[in-house]
Amino acid sequence: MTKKTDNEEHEELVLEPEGFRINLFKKFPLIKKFAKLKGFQFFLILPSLFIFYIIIISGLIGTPLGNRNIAIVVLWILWWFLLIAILVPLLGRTWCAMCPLPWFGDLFQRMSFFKVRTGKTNYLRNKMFGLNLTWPKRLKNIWLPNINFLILCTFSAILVTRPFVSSFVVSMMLIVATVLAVIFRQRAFCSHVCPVSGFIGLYSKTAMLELRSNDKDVCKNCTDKGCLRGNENGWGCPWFEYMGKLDRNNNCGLCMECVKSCPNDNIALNFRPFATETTLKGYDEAWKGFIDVGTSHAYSLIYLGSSGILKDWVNPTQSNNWTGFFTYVIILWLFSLVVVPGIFFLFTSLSHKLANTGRVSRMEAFKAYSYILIPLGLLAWIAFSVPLLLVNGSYIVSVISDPLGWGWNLFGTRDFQWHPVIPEYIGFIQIALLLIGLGYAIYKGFFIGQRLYNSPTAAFRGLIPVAVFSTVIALAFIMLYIG
Amino acid sequence: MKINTKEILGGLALLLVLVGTPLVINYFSPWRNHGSTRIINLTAISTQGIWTADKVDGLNIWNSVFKKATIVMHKGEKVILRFTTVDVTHSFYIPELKLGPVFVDAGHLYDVPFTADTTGIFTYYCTSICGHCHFYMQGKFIILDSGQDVSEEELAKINKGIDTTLQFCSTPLNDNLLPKDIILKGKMLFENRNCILCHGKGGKGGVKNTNYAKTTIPELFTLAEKLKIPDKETADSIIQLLRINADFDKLNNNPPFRTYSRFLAQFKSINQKILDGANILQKADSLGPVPPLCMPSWEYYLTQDEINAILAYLINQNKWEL
Repeated sequence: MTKKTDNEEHEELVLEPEGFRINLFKKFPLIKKFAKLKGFQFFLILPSLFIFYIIIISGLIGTPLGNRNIAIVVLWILWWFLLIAILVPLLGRTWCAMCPLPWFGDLFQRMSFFKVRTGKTNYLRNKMFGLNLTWPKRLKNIWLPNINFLILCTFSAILVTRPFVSSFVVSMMLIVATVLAVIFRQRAFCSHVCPVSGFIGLYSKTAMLELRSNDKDVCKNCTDKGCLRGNENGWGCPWFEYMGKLDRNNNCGLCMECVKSCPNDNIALNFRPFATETTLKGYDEAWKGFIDVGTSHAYSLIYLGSSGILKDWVNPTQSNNWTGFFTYVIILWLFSLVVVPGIFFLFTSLSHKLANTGRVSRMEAFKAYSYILIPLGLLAWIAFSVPLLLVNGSYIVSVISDPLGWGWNLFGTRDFQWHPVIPEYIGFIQIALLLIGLGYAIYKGFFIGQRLYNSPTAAFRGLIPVAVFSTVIALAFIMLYIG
Repeated sequence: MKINTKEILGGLALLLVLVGTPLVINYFSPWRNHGSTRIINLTAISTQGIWTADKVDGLNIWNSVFKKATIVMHKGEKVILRFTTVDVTHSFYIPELKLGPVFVDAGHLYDVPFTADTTGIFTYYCTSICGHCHFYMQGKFIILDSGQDVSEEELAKINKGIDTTLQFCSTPLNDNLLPKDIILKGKMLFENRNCILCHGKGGKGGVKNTNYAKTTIPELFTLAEKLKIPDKETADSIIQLLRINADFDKLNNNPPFRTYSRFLAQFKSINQKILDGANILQKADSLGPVPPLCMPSWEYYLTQDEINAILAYLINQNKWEL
């Protein structure tokens, strides 16, 4: 750990370790070769489209039994776990590179599977089809994904128990993504609408993978800007990112178009430490963190808890308890959008007061510190998802042989019995995960404070209330899991 | 125009997924018959109290009312009965044909080959308590002589009894909606908790139970007589005692009527039978099939208040001689 003297405060700052970067393109040239393939996304998306297509079909015409239908078992147990516990923390937005939902929109805009069309469309040097309108400025944030995510969470009990509903939601997302691609430029759906994308985007800040330029100076001097504008080798970035300025994972869909279009071969796929990026740009991102903490608390209480009343409230189509459902909706939305941020604001105000430097406003401190909810929230989501896989994962084994619940036995595993895996250790695993999340939240909180207050002493003082808040959140989760 | 082979292959691959997948799925659908033997698909739905031959899937289960299956075969015909369930475990049983009980659990298909040997109209049952509508999971299995046919009108006539009672299963009874009056409450519970299906409307009995030593399910409208209640006045006072949930044992010290001790013994016995149920019924033919209808245990489904209400209703059903 290196130290430097700050002239202003005359106090030595404890610098955050920059951490390692291993360029996987250099280390494993095969990865780069694959990324440079014109069919890179085609080969990733086609299999996932096949699986999602089966999910849609199965939701519609397969058995209505959730635990025997691939639409529920693969989507909400396997895919969800892989996404939140493996893909996002390790590989960032890799899912976005293989997600089939925006593909038909891409195909429409490009009118090709592999060939890159040159021409001129707005600032792009690619010929794009469709209206290519600019996305409304007011919506150029993740508020819409935040609200969409909260809506999905609100109906989650219906979503994860009724294959038809899951199928409907996936189909609607595919249709909306395609329609938006016809109207707006590039991947407007992924950037500004998709509820899952908002979720992945925020947590991919913690990811151990990043796509960055090797040398920013090369980008500065580059007149081609192929990464952003596209050229004959690759499409302009569907996420509107310019590699010369890209320093966050939030909006990098890892589609690898820039790897193909960069005329200077200046793109690196870096392996890096967990939770490297610690800046949030707007309140939309901060609120995403609050929503995720709020909903994950609610989910843990509802799905992992033992209250029959709550389970009745969240699934009115089964219980017919609409009063309970609306009570639940009001509580969930208020808790996620008002209560959690409100309490957090009180704690960060206290932090601001304790730090007492006068360098930043209370709101700036509030926004900056809200980052701590990202490692904590991610680990809490993983902790929530662990029992889903360990307890219900055995359904995956039987469902892959009989995806529609029609009595098929494709791989001979149809009759595999439900069998929870190490249920006695799940609580310990959850606690360990939460403590890791808490550790990262506090550790990163210190450096955020130092960045805000430019003094380790003030950062330490400011950290105390934030650490207390994180600990209370983590303890609340632990109480829910093992209480 | 230059043809780009890669683009064509890409398009074909996409087409293969989009068109090929549903085609393959449809080809291997359990509703398609690839052999020569007729397959009769029977899907159990507990919430509707039926075995249905309709196709039930994720799309239609939530907004459709399915038709109760009436199975029609011809003598000598061989079929495969393919059972599945969209919810809980059920069983399919036709005692007269010694078919089953076939236990059908969720997520599995059960193929049972069956050859129609005898003609007649038989009743099929579900013998696994499967929910609120369990007792309505009955239907007709008709075996005709070869060449004989049955019209829609005749089928409707055969199914009439079953279809009319189904109304009591269609909406689960909300406890808050129970009337205050004990007789009306008892009537509603008797009908809604399925007693009516075996014991008949108003407890008139007469429902046949295959190979049961007593042939039919006991009638209950004569309960007052079985309880040794001598007259209407006494019956009314018993109903009043049930209404206030009186302690019948305590009253034994100062009996309200002459035959009270006999009444109390019978009352306790019947009350216990409701709580315990009667799973083992005496067979008419000891080597014959197990009677399909039996009294389930109501211990965890009825409160003592509700049992009292049902008993009050049945006591009130008695036709007293003037």
